[in-house]
Amino acid sequence: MSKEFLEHRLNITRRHFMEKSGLALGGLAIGSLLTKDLFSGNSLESIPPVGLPHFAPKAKRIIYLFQNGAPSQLETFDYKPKLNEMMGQDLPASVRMGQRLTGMTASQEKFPLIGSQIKFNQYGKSGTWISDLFPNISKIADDICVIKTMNTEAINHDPALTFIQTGAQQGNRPSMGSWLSYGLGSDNKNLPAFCVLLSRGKGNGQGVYSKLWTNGFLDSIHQGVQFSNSDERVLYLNNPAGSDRQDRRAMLDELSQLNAHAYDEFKDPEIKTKIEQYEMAYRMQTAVPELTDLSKETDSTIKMYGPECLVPGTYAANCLLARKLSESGVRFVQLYHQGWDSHGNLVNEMKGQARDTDRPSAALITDLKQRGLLDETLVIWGGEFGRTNYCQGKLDQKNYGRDHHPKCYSIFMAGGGIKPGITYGETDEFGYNIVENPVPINDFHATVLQLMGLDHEKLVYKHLGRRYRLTDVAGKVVQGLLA
Amino acid sequence: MKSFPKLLSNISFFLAVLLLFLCVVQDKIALPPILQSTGRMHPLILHFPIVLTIVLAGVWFSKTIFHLPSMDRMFDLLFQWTVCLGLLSSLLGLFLSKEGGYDDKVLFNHKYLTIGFSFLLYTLSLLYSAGVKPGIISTGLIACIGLMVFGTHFGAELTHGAGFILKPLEKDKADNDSLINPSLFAATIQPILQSKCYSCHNEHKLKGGLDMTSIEKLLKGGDDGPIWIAGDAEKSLMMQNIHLPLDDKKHMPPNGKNQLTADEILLLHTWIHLGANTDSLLKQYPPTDTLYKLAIKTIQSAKAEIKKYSFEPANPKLIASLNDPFCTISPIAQNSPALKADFYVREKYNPLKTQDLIKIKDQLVSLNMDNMPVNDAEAATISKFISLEELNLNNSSITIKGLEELKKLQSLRVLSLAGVKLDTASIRVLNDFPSLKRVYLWNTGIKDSTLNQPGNKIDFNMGYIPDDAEVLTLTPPTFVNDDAILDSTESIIIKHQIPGVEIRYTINDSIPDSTSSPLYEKPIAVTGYTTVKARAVKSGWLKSAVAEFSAFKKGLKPSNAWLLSRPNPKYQNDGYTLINDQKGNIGNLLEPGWIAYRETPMDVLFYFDNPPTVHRISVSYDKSVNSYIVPPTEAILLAGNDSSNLKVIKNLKLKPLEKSDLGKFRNEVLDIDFSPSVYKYYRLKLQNVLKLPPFHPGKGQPGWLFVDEVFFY
Amino acid sequence: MTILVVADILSIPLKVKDDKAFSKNTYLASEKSMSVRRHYKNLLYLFLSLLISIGCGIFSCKNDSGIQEDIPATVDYNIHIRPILSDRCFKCHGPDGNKRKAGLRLDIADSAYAELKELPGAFAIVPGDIKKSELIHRIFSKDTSEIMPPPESNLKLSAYEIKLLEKWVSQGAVYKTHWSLIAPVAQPIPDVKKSDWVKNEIDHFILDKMKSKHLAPNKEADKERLLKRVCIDLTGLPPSIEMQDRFLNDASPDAYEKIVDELLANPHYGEKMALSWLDLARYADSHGYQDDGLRTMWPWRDWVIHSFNANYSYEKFVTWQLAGDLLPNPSKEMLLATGFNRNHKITQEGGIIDEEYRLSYVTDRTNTFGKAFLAMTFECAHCHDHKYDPISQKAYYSTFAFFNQVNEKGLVGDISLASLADPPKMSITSEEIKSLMSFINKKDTTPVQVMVMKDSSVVRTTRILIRGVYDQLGDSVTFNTPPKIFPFDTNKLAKNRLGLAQWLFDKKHPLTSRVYVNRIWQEFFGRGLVKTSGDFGMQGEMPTHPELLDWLALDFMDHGWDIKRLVKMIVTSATYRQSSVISDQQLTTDPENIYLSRSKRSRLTAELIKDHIMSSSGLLNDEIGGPSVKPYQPKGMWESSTSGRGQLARYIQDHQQDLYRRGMYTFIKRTVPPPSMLTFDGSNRDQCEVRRSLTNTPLQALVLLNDPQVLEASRVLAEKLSMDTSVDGSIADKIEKAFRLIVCRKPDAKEKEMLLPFYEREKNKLIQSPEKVDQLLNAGEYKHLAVTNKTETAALMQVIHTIYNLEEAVVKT
Repeated sequence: MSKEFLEHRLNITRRHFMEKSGLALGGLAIGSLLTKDLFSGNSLESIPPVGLPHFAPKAKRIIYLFQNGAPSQLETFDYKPKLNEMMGQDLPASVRMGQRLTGMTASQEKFPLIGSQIKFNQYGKSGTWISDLFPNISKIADDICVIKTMNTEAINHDPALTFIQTGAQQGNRPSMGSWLSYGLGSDNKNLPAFCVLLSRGKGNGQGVYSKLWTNGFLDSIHQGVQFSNSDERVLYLNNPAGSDRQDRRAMLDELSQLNAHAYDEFKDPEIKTKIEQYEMAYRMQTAVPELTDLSKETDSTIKMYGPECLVPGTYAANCLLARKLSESGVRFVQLYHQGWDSHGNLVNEMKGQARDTDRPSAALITDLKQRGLLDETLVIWGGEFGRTNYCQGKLDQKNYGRDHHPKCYSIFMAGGGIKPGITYGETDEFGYNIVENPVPINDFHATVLQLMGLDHEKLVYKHLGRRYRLTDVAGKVVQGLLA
Repeated sequence: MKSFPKLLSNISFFLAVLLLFLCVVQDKIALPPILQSTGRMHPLILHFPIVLTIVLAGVWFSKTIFHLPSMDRMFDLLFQWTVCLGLLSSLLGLFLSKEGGYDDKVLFNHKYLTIGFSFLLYTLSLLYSAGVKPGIISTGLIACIGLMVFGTHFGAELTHGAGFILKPLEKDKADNDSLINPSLFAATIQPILQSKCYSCHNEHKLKGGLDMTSIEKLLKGGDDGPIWIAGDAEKSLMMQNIHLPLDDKKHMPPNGKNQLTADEILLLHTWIHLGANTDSLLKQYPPTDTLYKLAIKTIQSAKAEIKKYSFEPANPKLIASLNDPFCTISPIAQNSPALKADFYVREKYNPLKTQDLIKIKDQLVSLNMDNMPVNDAEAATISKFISLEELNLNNSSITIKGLEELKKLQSLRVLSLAGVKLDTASIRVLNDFPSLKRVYLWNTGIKDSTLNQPGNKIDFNMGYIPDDAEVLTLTPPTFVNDDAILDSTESIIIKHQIPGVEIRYTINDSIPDSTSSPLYEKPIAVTGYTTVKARAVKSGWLKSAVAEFSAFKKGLKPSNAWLLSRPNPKYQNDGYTLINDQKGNIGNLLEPGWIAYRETPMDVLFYFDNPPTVHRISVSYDKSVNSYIVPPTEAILLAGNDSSNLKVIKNLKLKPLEKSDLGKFRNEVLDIDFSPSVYKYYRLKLQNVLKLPPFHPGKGQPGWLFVDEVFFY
Repeated sequence: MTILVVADILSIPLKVKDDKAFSKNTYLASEKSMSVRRHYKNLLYLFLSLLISIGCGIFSCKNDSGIQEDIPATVDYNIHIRPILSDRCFKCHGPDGNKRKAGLRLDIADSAYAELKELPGAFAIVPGDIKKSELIHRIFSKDTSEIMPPPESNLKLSAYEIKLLEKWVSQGAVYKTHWSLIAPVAQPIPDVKKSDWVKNEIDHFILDKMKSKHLAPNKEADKERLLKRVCIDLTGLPPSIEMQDRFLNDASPDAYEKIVDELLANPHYGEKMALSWLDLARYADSHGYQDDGLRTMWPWRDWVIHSFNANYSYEKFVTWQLAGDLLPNPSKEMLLATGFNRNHKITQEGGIIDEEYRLSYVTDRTNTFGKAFLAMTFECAHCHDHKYDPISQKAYYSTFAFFNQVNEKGLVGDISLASLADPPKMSITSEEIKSLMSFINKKDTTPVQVMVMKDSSVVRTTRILIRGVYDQLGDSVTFNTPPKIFPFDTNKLAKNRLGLAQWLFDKKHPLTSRVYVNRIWQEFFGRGLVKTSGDFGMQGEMPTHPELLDWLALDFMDHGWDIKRLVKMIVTSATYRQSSVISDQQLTTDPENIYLSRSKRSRLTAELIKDHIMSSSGLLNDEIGGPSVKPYQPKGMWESSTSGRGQLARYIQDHQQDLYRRGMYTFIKRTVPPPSMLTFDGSNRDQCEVRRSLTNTPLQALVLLNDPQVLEASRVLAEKLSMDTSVDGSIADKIEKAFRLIVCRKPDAKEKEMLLPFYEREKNKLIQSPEKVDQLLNAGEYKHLAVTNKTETAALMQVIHTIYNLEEAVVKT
C-alpha cells in the first residue's frame, strides 16, 4: 500500500503545486528539481514530469515570426510560371475541384488566373526559388527550409489564426507558446516563458487577439506576456514616479516581514508563495530593462536589422528584441506583423510589407547564427493560410488582389534541428493543390514539439474530463523536415 | 561470552516476531521512511545468510558424520548467527518490497520462499536446542538450502532482470552473428520489424496467422501467404498494406500503433526490390550501393536517437540545491544523466556559482554563460568540467590565456566567443582543442577571412560583415508628445534613436530641406494649431522621409456644450465630445470623438460658468475629399450672455473646394478670430457643402462635415 | 487481536525450550536456571517488537485518513470503478460506436459480460471469476501486445487501480447507473455528537465525514475575519469601520445572523452574485472575432443583478433566460432576459460563409446549455458520439434543434456597417425603463438596442453535422434531449425552448438542482462538493459529500429554488464560519481541504480586488448597472492589436466618476480583455466558464505594486487620513485606521511595531529627497485634498501602499 500512498501523495503535492504555487514565470522547471524521485515509475497519470523534455531536444527555444493576414505564396516562395502563361484564363474546374470560396469571391462568376508580377530567382547551393520581394532572405537561402505545402481547414482569418496558434479553430484552447511553457517551463526564472511582440505594416490589417496567446485551461502563468511599445515594455513593470529601486526594496522587505508574521499565525503555504512571488517580480524588474535597452547594440547590428530596429513597435525592433529575449532563455517569442491581407492592390501592399520584414527577418537568423544560437533556436516565418491563384475582383496586372486559399501555402523555418537549404513538398503547376508531401497544421505542430524534445501525444492536459493536446487527435511528425 | 549467543538468540526471537507480524499485516500498513531506508540495506545483508547456511550445513554434516563434538560450540554460535542474519535480511527485504516497482509474481516467489527459509531455519534452531533427532536437523538443513537456492534465484531476477544467469550465454550468441558482423537484414530490417510489427505478429499473438519474429516464420508468411515477393516490392503484400491510407482497416501498422517513418518504408521497399536478401553481410555491400546508404542512414539515426552517457546521474537534491534564480541547472531530458547550466542577468553574475558547478562537473555537458562577465580565472574552473560539449562565452572577458585553459576540455565540440576581444593568435590555440568542431568568432576583432580552408577540422563562423557599399535610408524622426493637444507649458519634442543624426524641420507646411531648413535643437513652442514637418539627416545614410505632426494648444474649456441640430445618427455623439480635449482619429471615423453632419448644418451652443476673455475659436475638422468629407462653406458665430438672445459676432464665407483638393486626406483647422470679448454663451453654425462641385466624383451630392474638437482661445 | 496471534505462536517454542532445556547438552543446559528470567526477557522483546509493529500500524492508519484509502471491503462501481474505466478504457471501449475497438464496450454490463467478438470463448468480464475474465488477464499482462491499456495510448493503471478492478470483478462486477444520473434521494441527517459546534444541517454532514477521516473542525474564526469573509462573499465589498465596530460590540447570540440578513438585503449582493453568472453567460461588451465591434448587452447585465436582488427563484431566473420570449404574452423584461442566449461571439469579418457562423452560434448556445445547467460536456458530442457520457451525436443535435430556430444571420454586416445589436433585437426606450424596468441604468435619452431570442415562424429542420462540419449534413433530427440524462416527454412538454426549460425544472431531474447547488457551494468554499463543477459526467470527479449534495439539492427544490435561502444556510453554517488556521495534521492529511475541517484562505477574484481597493480607499463609485466603463489601462493595448476598424480601435479612457466603478463594469473587449483582470485570472468571456482558477504569478505582484489605480487609492486614502479629524492626530491612529479599512481588522501589536518605524523611515527618506513627494502624490486623476504636510502624507501613502500589498489584504481569511 505504501507505494500507492506515496504516488497518490506526490500527485496531490504536484497538483497542489501546479494549482497554487504556480511559482516561477512559465511554471518553473519543476521537473529539474523533482525529476526522478517524484514522477518516476507508473504514477497515476502517465503524464511525464512537467518541465523537462521527453527526450533530448534539437531546439531549446522558438521565435515565431507570424505574418498576420496571410502573405501570398505565389509572390514569395511558390514559383508558378504557368500562371503567367495562362494569365487571364479561367481556373479550370478540374483544378478547383469544388473548393469552397469565401463570401468575397463566391459571387464572382469568373476566376481569372494571374501570375506573379514579381520576378523569381534561385538562390544558394540549394537553388531555392525566392521572389525579388526578399533580397535579404535570398542571401540566407541555404540556412532556411521552405515548406510549400502547408495547408489548413479554415478559410477565414479568425478561425485560421486560432487554428495554427492553438490547434483548434474554435474554443479557448492554450496556444503553442502556452503549451511549451507548460511542457518545458522557463529556463530564465526572471522572465516569462512566453513573450508576445506586436507590429503593423501599411498593408490591409486583420487584427490580433489575446486569444491567440491565451493560456486557455492551463494556469495563467503560461499566458503569453504581451510586450508593449511604450517605454514600459512589460505591463506594470516600472516603479511609479517617486520610488526608485531602493525604495521598492525597502517596501518589499517590510512586506515579507509582515507576511512572514501572518504565516506564523496561519501556517498557510500560500503565504510563502506570495512572498516568493514578490521577489520574482522584483528580479523581473532587473532582468527586463537589461534586455530592452537597445542603446548598447553595435553599429553593425543596427545596419544588419536596419535603422528601424531602434524604433519601438516596428517589426525590425521586435526582431532585435526577440533575439535578445530568446538569447536570455525565453522559451517562446511570438511576433505578429499585420498587413498581409492583400485582397486588392496586392503588388504594392506586398512590397511595403516586404520592406518591413525582409531585412529584419534575415538579420535575426544571421544574428542568431553568428552567436552560435541558431542550432538551438527554431525560427518560423509564415501566415495562417495562402492566397488564390486567381484574381479577386477584375483582372488588372498593376493592381490585382488574391482571396483566401487554405489548400496550400508557403512558410519557412530555420535552425533548431530543421533541415537547412531544402524546399519541402510540391504543389501543382497552378499553385492550387498539393501534389506531394502535404503538411497539415497538426503535423506542423507535432513536428515543432518534436524538435523541442516533446512527444506531441504525451504533452497532454486533462481538463473537464478530457485529455487535451496541441495536436488534438491528429498530427504526425514530418520526418522530412528534420536535420 | 556466554551471554553473547543468548543475546543473538533473543534478537532472532525478536526479529522472528516482528517478521511474523509484518507478514500477517503487511497489506494493512505503510512504513515510516526510516524503515524504508533501512530496507535498502537488504542487498547488503542478504549474502551473509546464504554463505553461512552453506557453511552451517557443511559444518553440521562433517560434525555429524565424523562426530566432532569439538565443533559443537562453534556450530551453536554459527547457527545463531545464520538464523539471526537470515531473519534480519528477510525483514529488511520485506521493508524494501514495500517500495514497490517490482514484478509482482517474481517478488511474491522471492518473498515467501526466503521468508519460509528464515522461519524454517529458526524453527530448526529451536528444535535443535530442544534436542530433536539429528536426522530432522539434517533434512531440515537440506530443505533450507533448497528454499534458499530458489528463493535467492528469484531475488537475483528482481535485481538483475529475468533469466539473468543465462544472459551472458545468449549475449555471446547474439554477438557472434549480428553484432560483430551483422547481416544487413539483422542490422536494419529486423530492428524495424521488431519495433513496429512484432507486438502483433509473434508466437503468442498471430494476427493474420503471421509470426515475424524469426526468419523462417517470416518467409512462411501468414494466412494470405508470403508477405513479400523478393524483387517485386509493388506486389508484396507487406508493402501494399503499408501504403494503404492510414484509416484503411488493412493499413499496417494499424492506425493508433506506432507508424513506420518515411525512411523505414523506403528502406523496406528498396530491400525487397533488390531481392529481400536475408544473409549477405552489411560489409559486403559497396559503400555506393543505395540500399547500403539507406541502411547506414537508419542505423545512424537510430544511434543519434539514443546518445548514451556513461556517467552516473547527479543527485536530484544536489541539482535542486545548485539552482538559483540566476543560474538554471537541469537534465537535458527526462531520465538523462547529462546536465545543462544557463546563467542569466549579467549584473547578478557571481563567480562563486561557477565554482559550485564543480560538484556536477561529470554530468555537465552544456554551459551557457552568454553575456556574463567571465574572465580567465573562471576559465580555469570551467576547464575542469570534463564532460562539457557546448560552451557559450559570448561577450565574456576571457583572453587567449583563458582559451589555453579551456583546451583541457576533451569533448568540447562547440565554442561561442562572439563579442570576445581576441586576435588572430588565439586561432592557433583554438586549433589545438582536441575535439572542437565549430567556433563562433563574430565581432571578436578577428577579421581573417582565410580561416575556413577546405579540410580545416574546425568551422570558424565569422558572422555578418556589413557591406560598406550599401547605403541605407534613415528612419523619420519621431514626435515624443503622445497627445496632439498640448497645454500651455508643453512644446513639441522631436527625437531620433540613431546617435548623431541631424533633424531639420519646418512649421510653414513646406517640405524640410536637409541643409537650409532650421535644425532642431530644442522643443518647439506652439501658439495655436501648428503642423511640424521634420526629417533626419546623417552622413553615410540617405535622408529620411518626412514625418508630420499637428498639435493644438489646449484652449479655455467651456463648462458644457449642446448640439442644437441633429448630427447624422451613424456618427452621433454628445456635445461634450467637442470640448473634451480628445482628438478624433482621421484614420477611423467610426471612433467616438467625431460628430458628422450631412443632412443638416452643424449648430452647437457652448456655455461658460465663469466666462473668460476669448479672441479666437478654432474648429478642427477632417478633410478627406475623395471620401466626400470636405470643409464647411460658411461659419456663423453668435455670442451673448442670455442663451435666448445671442447676436452674430462673426460671419465667415469660406473658400470653396478646388480641384487641387482632390486626394487631400488630412486634419484641418478653421480659425475664427474676433475682438477679445467676455460672453457666457457662444453659438457656432457651420454649413456643410450642399452640392459637391462638378470635378468631384460625387458631384451634386451633399458633402460630409466631420468635426472632432472646438478650441477657445 | 494481532497481539494474541503473536503470543500464541510464541508460547509453543517457549515451552519447548524450557521443559527440554534440562536434558540438553552442556551449554544450553547451563542456562536452565535462567529460563525464568529469560521468560521475562522474551516478553520484553515481544513487547519491544509489538511496539514497533504497532508503530507501523499507527503510521499506516494516519496515511489512511484523507490521502490513501485501503482497498475497500466492498468495491463500488460508481465510487471506485467507473472513474478508472471511464478514464482509461472508455476511449476505445465506451459509448462512441465509431471509435470502439474489438467491438467491446465496458460501460454497459451486458456487453461487458458478453462473449468477445474477436476472441470466441473468451469474456471480458465473468462476474466473480477473475481467472476467466480477460479484462483482469489483460491488465495484469506484461506482454506489450496484450496489456491494457495499450502502451501507445499513453495511459496506465496504477497497481492500486488494478487491485480495485480485480476485487470488483471477484465481487461480481456489479454495474450501477452513474451517480449524477440517478435523481437525488432523501438523505437522513447524520446525528453527530459535538452538537456545540454544529449550526445547521450542513454541519451534520460535514462533521460526520470529517470524523470518519479522523479530522476535527477548526473553531469559529475571529469576528473581524469572519466579517470580512462574509461581506466579501455576499457583496464583494469589505466592511466599513463602522460595521466592524458594530459587529465587534454586538455580543448578542444572533449578531452574525443580523449581519448576514443586512448583507443579503444590500443591493450589492446582486452584483456579487451576478459576477460568476456573467462568466457562465460569456457576457462581454464587444462582438468578439477579429474586428470585435461594440455591442450593447449591458441592460441584460442590469437585469441579472436585479433578479438576484429581487431573489427570483432559480426556476424563474433560468426559465426567463432560456425561454422568456415563449412565455404567454411575454413582458419586455422577459424578452430582455433571453439575451442570455445572444451573448455569444458574433463575427463581423467580411467574406465569411454565413451558414458556417450561424451554426457556430447555435453550437455555442447548445454547449453553454449543457455546461451551465447540466454540467455535461456537450461539446464532446458535436463531432461524434460522446466518448464517456451517454450523449450520442444524435442526442446532441436533437438538443441543438431547440436553439436552431432563431431567425438570425452568421454575418449581419461587416465592421464598416457594424451594429450594436444584430437581429433579432429589441430597443428599450427611456419611457419603458421608467415604467417597467427601473433597474436599467441608462444615462442618455437615445433608446438602447439589445439582442434577444426570437424563433422564426417556420420550424427549421435540424440535421446532424457529420464530424461537426457545417456543410456535411447527416440525418435530420427532432427536438429532444439526451434520454439517458432525463427523458423529454413530448406529450407533456412543448417542442421549443420553453419545453426545454420545463424539462430542466422537473422535480425528478437528476442534474439541474445538484449542479446549481454545487456551483453556489463553490462560490463560498472555493471548491464544489463535486470539484469539476463543469463536468458531472463520468470523467468528472466524484462528489466528496454525496449525501450532503443530494440533501441540499432536494432541500433547494422543496423550497421553491430559493437562492437567498440557500446562500443564507451556507454562510450561517458552522462549516463556513471556521477559522482558516492550518494545523500540520490538516496540511499533511488534507492539503486540498476536501473535508472542510477548516476554512480556506482564497485570493479575491480580479473584479473584487479592484472593488476592495477602491472601496477601502473611499474612491468607489458604487452606482449599480449601466454601460461599461473604460478605466486606466496601459497605453497601446488596443491600438497595437486592432485591425484599425470599428469603434473600438482606440482605447479612449473615461474620466471622473467613471474611473471608480466596480470591477464588473470594466469594459470587456473580447479580443483584448482588461490586462490587469486577465493577470488575476479574469475570464476573457470567449465561452461559458463555470470556474475560475486562482493562480499566483509575479505579474500579479507587479499590478498591485505599480497599477495607477492602486497608487491612486493609496494616495487618496493617505490624503483623507491626513485631513481626518475623527482620529486623534497621532500617525499611529491613522495607520491603524488604514489597516482596518484595508485588512478589515485591527493590527496586532507586532504589526504596529513594524509599520510605525517603517513610516518614520519613509518619512526621513522623503525629507532627504523632497522632489519625490510631489511625484508620489501625483498619482491618479482624483482631485487632491489640500493637505498641510505633503511629506507626511506621502510617507503615509507609502505605508498604505504597503498594506495594500499585504497577502492578507486581498484574500478572504
